[in-house]
Amino acid sequence: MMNYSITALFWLATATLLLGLWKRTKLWRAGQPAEFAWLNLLAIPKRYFVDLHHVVAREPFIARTHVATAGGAVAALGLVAINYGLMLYCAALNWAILAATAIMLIGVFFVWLRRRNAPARLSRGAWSRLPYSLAAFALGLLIVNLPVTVLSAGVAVFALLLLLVGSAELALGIGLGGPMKHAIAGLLHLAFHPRQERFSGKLSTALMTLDLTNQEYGINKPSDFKWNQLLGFDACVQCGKCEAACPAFAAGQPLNPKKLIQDLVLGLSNDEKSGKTDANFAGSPYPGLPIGEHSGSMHAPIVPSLIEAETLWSCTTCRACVQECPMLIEHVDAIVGLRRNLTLTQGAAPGKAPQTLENLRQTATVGGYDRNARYHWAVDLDVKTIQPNMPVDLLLVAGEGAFDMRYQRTLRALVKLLKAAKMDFAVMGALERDTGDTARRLGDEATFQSLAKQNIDTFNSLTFKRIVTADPHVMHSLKNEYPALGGNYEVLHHTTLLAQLASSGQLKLGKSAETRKLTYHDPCYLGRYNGETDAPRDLLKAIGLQVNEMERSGLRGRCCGGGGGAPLTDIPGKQRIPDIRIQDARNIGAELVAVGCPQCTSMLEGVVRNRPDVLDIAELVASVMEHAS
Amino acid sequence: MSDENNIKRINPRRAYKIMADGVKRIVLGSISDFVAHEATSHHGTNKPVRTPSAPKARVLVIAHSDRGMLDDHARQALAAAAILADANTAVVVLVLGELREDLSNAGADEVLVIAELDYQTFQPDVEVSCAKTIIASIVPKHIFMPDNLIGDGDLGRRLIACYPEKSAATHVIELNNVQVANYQLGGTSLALTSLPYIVLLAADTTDSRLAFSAAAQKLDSTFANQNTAKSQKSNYTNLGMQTISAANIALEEADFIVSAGNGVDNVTTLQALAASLDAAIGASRVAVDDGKFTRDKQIGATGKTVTASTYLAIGISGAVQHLQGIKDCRHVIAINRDNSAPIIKRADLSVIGDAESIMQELITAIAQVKSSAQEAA
Amino acid sequence: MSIKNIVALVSAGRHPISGQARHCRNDSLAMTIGLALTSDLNAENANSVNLKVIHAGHAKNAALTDYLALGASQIDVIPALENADIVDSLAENLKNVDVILMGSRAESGQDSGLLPYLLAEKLNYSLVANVLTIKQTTEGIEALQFLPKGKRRSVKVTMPTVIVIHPLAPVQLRHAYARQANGHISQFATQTPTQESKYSCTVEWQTQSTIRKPNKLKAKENKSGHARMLSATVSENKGGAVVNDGNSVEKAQVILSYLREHRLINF
Repeated sequence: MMNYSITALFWLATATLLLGLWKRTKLWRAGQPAEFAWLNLLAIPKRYFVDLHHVVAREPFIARTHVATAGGAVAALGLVAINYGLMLYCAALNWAILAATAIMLIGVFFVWLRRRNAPARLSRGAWSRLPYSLAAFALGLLIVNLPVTVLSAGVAVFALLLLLVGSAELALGIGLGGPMKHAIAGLLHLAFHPRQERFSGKLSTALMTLDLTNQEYGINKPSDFKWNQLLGFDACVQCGKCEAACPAFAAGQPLNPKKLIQDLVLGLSNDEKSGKTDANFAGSPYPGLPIGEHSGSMHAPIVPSLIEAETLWSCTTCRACVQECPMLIEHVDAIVGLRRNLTLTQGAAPGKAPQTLENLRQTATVGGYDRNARYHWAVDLDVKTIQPNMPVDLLLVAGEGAFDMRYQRTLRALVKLLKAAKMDFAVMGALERDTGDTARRLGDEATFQSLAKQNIDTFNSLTFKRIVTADPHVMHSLKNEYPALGGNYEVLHHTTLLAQLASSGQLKLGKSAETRKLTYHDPCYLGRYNGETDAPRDLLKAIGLQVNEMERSGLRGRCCGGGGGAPLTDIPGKQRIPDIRIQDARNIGAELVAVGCPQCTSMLEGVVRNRPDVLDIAELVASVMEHAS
Repeated sequence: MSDENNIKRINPRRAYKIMADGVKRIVLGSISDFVAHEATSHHGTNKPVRTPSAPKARVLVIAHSDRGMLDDHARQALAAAAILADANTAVVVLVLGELREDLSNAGADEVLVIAELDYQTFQPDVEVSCAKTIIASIVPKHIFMPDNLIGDGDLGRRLIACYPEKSAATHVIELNNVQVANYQLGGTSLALTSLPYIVLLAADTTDSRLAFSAAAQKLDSTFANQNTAKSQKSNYTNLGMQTISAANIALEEADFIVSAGNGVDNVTTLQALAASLDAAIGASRVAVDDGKFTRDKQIGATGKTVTASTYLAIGISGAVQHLQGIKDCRHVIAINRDNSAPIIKRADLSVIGDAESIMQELITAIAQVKSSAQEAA
Repeated sequence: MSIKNIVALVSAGRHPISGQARHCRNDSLAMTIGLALTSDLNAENANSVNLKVIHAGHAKNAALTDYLALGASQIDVIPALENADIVDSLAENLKNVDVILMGSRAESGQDSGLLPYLLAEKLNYSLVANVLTIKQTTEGIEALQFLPKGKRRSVKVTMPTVIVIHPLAPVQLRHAYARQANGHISQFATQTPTQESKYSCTVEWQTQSTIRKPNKLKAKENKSGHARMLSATVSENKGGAVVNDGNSVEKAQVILSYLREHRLINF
């Protein structure tokens, strides 16, 4: 009797689950078509245990808890499927089920323990019931599999009820959008992830190119996302690691990446007529924006009824959220997709952004400068300016920093070092146009593509082997985003090149006389976007400087607030992002912050009151050269 | 010094008078040590008089008055006409709106006033017909007007359109006896032409301080005035004026800005000073980043570019970006602790010292001036 | 009388540094105000109001695409020779228009700000300049005019009228690529390029591409020898006066007397 009940329950639950999955699939399929391969389903185990676990394992406690809970549950479910689903009712398998449920129960205990002292980033609401419903499932399954021949009727009914409650959590999750939705959607997301390169150990940070001739103008409504992006949003477990990493959230600007993803989930799953708001969201709100006043649906414009524009314009595109997300969700793609629609169809970028975009269109510089003046800082340095039919090894692309008197010091230092290393190099001179990086982050894909195509034409008319730049944003554009438009170049950050030259002995370096306590700030576009965290540190070590690491460094470095056009849109918050970063430096007693990016330099130097000095690595290295000579 | 030798010495700085033709005359017999300074009085009694006794030609200056006075821009147009006029040419000024000051020092030989045509009332059709009547009676060689926004730029262009056969130039930035210049092609090109019939002068083309004075003889303007009395059907109806307080005015529009930098600790004092000067408040980036002011107050390359006549920079060191934002300000006054700050090089007047106490004293001084002016009135 | 036909006149601008063709901001403000007025009027009542965006010049001018991006769905081009006077041909095409909107000053050609006045005179239309906002009333257009020192004036004007928009009009320009891609530029078929100007007020100008600071006109002074010597030896101090000494009261007085001397305050 009991066995049959469990079999019935199992198949009922399975049917419910499949029905729910079918329902949910219908929602995802409302999205735009995307290339995918069914065979990737086979890659799920590897991607789960390697790529996903790599992120989760940063927090060992929760990693072990999840292994016990999910592992126990999956094992138990598999065994139940065999033993009860196929109606074998084999006693040995009962023992195995018992073992699996016991492991699961231990895991659930730790889930419960964690929930008792949950950090603020974790969502409450439905997620708070999870330890209990999972415990009900495990306990129910444990009881019915106990090696006793006859359970008292009361206990049997109680156990079945527990099992029913637990199974409901598991089976209904995907169909009704409960917390356990993450299990199914998460696994499918691993298979059909929009950035498949991520699973082959490569960085995948370039924004997708829009086909403007085909009237692709970004995301207006949830159904404008690709179906696998929608699937990805459903994978979110609301752990809030993105929230904890987000510099805009920390600064009190109205952005919370977790809330953003949940708003999109609300949009994709909401019935058009229900008018259901985001009131059920049980996590931290967007700072300054109350919960319960926004609503959306699959075919309704997202901004502003579901998500306010200022939320989107708060993002610095630093990718800290993406770096932290255990479910490998791509928040920045979603934000830029939404920005693109605002900019391309309404021209609605706020603050100084419209003026900047106009400058880029009209002068090919961010600040509206004369581009013939970009290399004026190099007049007295006896530097070649590249021309067609003048082959060089190395082309120096300065970027917008060249117009900034502060960053010209860095560039001059770099030129001196390149000369000391006897490099065959030239600067780009008046031929250089802005890479369009800022335009692209602000959603102006048209201006980006126009600038990129002009730059690619220019590069094609020149002969060089490699490009070096002191601006990681220039580097990211040229190296990662120009290939999609037909420009393929070997692009080096100046610290990478200098580190190579130093280790090969081509650049002979002495030891720095610097005695101040030093730290290094990783630019997001160098670290997370290009994976370069070692060369700057190696270089500092090579001149005898010890790097004291700040609270967040390397691939998990904290943003300076200068990316993504955020200083232009300038959405007000409670404090400024660079102040937070300088506080990191103060906290370890650093008196000197080494940087490798013009944006970081100007943002960090913009912090008022006594702060550590900010110097580019090129300046530090060049000062060693001067001491030596 | 003793007088033992009893040698008679002549005080080389003994009293003198400057005669109407500008020549210095020693006052004979005067034993006082009083030194007569060169006259700076507004009546120009000591300056040579330019007004021709029997003019053969006339030039006309048309300008609106503001609260009974011609502003400096209008005086520049008048001065330009007077400087360019030869010995046989008289300068006639047509003042639209009430006139409560003497224009002899401003170079006007003859003055016509039509008090009813105050700039605050929009009545371009009446103004055009009055001006045409006067032009027809005076037959001026040239007409000079300030190209401003209190009605003269508008009236000037309406007149140019009325006389399509006559030559004209607007936004004139430079003029002399033979030619005028202005910027064209979006300010990228300097264009020259010979002195036209109607000249609309941009601000700051002419030094309005003249070395001579004029008769400023008031003429009867009733013949032109009759036009205003006529009840003609107008295309324009005035619905009233409103004034935005300096505190709420957009910085781009403000004519007087009090701006604070890192050196200002007490924002309340600054606000009080701005209120007493009826000035808008601006701030440097540092002060904004510091949270003392909102972002929309930020002046500079990354903030707003302002064009105020007066820019009072308090505790602002003057970073390049900030100076970019104030490049079009006419009078920059700096109060700063550090006399080597970059703003000192830009400022027309710099006062070195403690910002807080100077602001306090300035507020007190302004209050005194205001109350004594009230008593006088 | 209600508005039926609104025209926004747009000119070709160029960037002062790069020389690249672009919209003229002043005209864009006027056009945007026209677009807003049109959509407001169409939302209010059923009879449709039509906004025509007209450019006199060359249809291939790259500046025109900016106006599409800024909201014009179509631009009608009246062919005109470069630097030719366009008053006559424009006037020919602007009969039976209720409201003509344009910017206060172009950034190509002479930038004299005369075109609206010549048009209004030629067509015998009323004209209001320095306008910040407009709205329709029962008898015409109500315009808010900009006056310096924070003053604003409301006036009512009868139609047909030429409205010249002030550069500080509270309008947000929004440049959207999608509109540029979807917009059209069409040419008035019947017009032949206009002839040389009949207006002699557009005088002959000699242009120099180098920009220099203008020389200020000063009265020749019949100064004493001493004063002449002074002005010859004491050059104009570039950095301005610097007051280092004295107490705060004296320093405050220095500032106050500077302000009064230059008539920067009126008390």
